[in-house]
Amino acid sequence: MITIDIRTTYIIVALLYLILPTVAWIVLAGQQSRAVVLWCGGGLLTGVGFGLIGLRGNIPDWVSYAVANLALFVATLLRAQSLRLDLAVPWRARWMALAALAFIVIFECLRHGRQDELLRLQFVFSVWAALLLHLAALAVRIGRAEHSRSALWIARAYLLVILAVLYRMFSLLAGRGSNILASGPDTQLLGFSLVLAAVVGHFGYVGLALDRSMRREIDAAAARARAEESHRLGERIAQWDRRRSLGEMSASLGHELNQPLTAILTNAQVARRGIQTGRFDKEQLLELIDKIAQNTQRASRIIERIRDFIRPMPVRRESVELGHVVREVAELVADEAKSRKVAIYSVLPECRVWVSGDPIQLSQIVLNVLRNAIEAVALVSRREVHVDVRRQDERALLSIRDSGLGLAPEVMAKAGTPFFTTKPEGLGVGLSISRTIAEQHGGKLTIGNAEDGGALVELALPLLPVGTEAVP
Amino acid sequence: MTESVRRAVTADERKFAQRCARGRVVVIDDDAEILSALATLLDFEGYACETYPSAPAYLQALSDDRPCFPGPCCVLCDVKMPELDGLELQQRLAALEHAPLLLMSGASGALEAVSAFRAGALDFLIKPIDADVLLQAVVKALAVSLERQRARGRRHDLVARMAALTGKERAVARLAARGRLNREIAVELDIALRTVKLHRQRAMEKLGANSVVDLARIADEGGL
Repeated sequence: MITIDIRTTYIIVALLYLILPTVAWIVLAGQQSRAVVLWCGGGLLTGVGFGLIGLRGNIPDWVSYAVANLALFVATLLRAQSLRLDLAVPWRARWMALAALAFIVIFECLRHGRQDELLRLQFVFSVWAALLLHLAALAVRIGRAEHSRSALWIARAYLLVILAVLYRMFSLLAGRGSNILASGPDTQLLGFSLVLAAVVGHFGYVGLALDRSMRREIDAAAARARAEESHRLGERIAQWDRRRSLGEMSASLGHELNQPLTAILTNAQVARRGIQTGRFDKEQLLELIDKIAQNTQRASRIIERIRDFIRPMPVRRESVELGHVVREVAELVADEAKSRKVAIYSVLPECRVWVSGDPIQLSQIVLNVLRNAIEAVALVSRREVHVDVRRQDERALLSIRDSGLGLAPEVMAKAGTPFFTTKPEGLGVGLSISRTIAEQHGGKLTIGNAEDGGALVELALPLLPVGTEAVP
Repeated sequence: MTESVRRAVTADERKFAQRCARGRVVVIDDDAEILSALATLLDFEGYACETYPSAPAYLQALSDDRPCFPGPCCVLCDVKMPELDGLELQQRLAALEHAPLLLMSGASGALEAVSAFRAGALDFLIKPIDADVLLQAVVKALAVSLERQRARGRRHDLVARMAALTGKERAVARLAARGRLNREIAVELDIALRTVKLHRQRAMEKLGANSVVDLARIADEGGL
C-alpha cells in the first residue's frame, strides 16, 4: 500500500486551497457578489489553516495550533455563510464572531488547561464535522432549489470529508495516536478526501456560479423579450385605438375638411368670373389667390394632423409642450364638439409646460378624455368642457372637467379598467390605454368627479427641468 | 318684411339701394373664410350681402329693426353651428314669416336635408358649393321673396281699401261678390234698388274692381 507522507498531504491541500480559490475568483471576476467573496475568502483561509498545520513543529505551536484551527473554523463558517447568502438566510456577523471566540476559548482551554489532546481533537473534529454537515446540507438545498448538479457535487465532496473525519474520530477513540500528523489509513483517507474536496468543491462552486449567471442571462433575455413583446403589442393597441377614434370622428373630420375646400372653390370661381368679365383689378385678384393659398394650407394642416395621429410610428421620447398638445387635439375635435353644441374652454398657462414623452401618445390621452367629456355633456343642457394646463408641485397637470352628470360610484370604481364601458357601442379600451400611456410616461391618470358634479380627469406628468426642453 | 324702409341720401347709399333692389342675401356661417368668400361672390354678382358669424347674431340684428332699402331678401345659412344651428334658425324665422331660407352643409347629413325641406327650406346646398348652383338658388329664393313681398303688398293695399268702405257699401259688396242681383240685394237688405246701385258702384270704385269677377276675387283675398 502506498503511503503518502501526511505532512506533504497537508501542504498539498494547503496549496490547492490557496490556488483554487484564486482561480475561482479570477474565473468569476465578472460576478463579484458577496457570496463569491466569502466562498473564495473561506477557501484561502482554509489553505492558510492547513498550511499552518502542515508546518507544525517548524513554526511556533500557538500559530500551528490556535491560529490554524481558528482559521479552519472561521473558513468553514465563511463558506457556510456564503451558501446561506445565496439561500437568502445569512447568519448575523456578530453571532459568527461570538462562535469563533467561543471556539478558540474552548480550544485553548482544552490545549492548555486539561492537557488532554484526545478530548481536544474530538472537540475540533466534531465541531468541524458538524459545520461541514451543515455546509453539505446547504449545498443540497441550493442544488435542489436551482437544479444544479454542481451544488450536489459540492455536497458529495464534503460528505466524503465528513466520513473521513468520523472515521478518524473512531480510530482516535479506538486508541490510535492522537498526533494529527501520524500516518495511518484514517489520516490517509482524511488527506485524500481533503484533496478531493478542494478540487471538487471549487470546480463545483465555479460551475454553480456559471450556471447561475447563464440562467440569469437567459431569464433576463426572456424578460427583455417579454417586455419588448408587450411594448410592441401596447403600441399596436394604442395605434389601433387612435384609428378607431378617428374612424368614429370621420364624419366631423370630413366636415372640418370641407370648410377650407368650400372657401377655396368659391374664391377660385369668383376669380374666374372676375377675370372673364375683366371687372377685377390686380389687387383684388391677388387677394383672392392669397385666400385660396391660405385655405389650401389650412386643409393640408387638417390632413397632416389626422395623418400624424394614425401613422404607425415607433414611440418617441422628446420634449413635448402640453399646451400645444391640447391645442392640436382641440382642433381635431372642434367639429365634433360644434355639432353636439359643446363649448370647449381651454386655459393654457402663459409660460409653456414641458414634459418628456411621445407627442402622439399624449395627444391620444387628451383625445380619449376630451371625447368622453363631449359625449358626457351632450346628454345635458349646459354643455361645457374645461381644459386646464398648469404646473403644480414640480408636476405638469392637465385637467379636463365637464359639466355633465359625473360618474356614478360603481362606474368610477371600474373606469379605466380594460374592456369596461358604459357606452352601448364602446369597447372600453380608451381610458385603459390612456392610463397605461400615462404610467409609461411616469405619470398618472386620475378619474373622478369635480366638486360641482361633472367628471374630472387629471393627467399628472413629471415636469421637464427648465432649460432641458430645447434638447429632445 | 318687418324692417322699416330706409331712404338713400348719399351716392354710395344710392348704389347700395340699387343692390338691395336686386336682392339682399344674408349669409350666416361660423367659418370666417367661407363668409368672406361667399360675400365676395355675391358682391361680385351685384347683390347686397350681409354676413353674420352666428345665427343669434343675425336674430339680434333683426330685433334691432334697422331700416333697410326695399328689395327681395333671402337667408343663406350653414346647418352646423355651435350656439344655434341652421335648422333651429329656420324654425325661428318661420315664426317670423321671413325671407326664404337656403341651408348649406357638408355632405354628411341626409337626415338634415330631409328635415330642412320638411320645415320649408327652399334649397339645401352641399359644400363645397358650385358658384352657379349657389347663384341659381339665390335667384330662385329672391324671386320667391319678391313674390311674397308683392302678395303681402297687395294684401296691405286690400286691407286699406276694405277699411275705406262704409258699412252699407261693405254689405252690398259682399252680397254682390256672391253673385246676387241688385234686386235680390235690395230685398235682402231692405233698401231701395237705387241705393243698392249707388253703394255697389262706390264699393267697386273704392276696391278698384272692374267687374263682378274682379269683385269676387278681391272679396276672396281680402276676406270680405
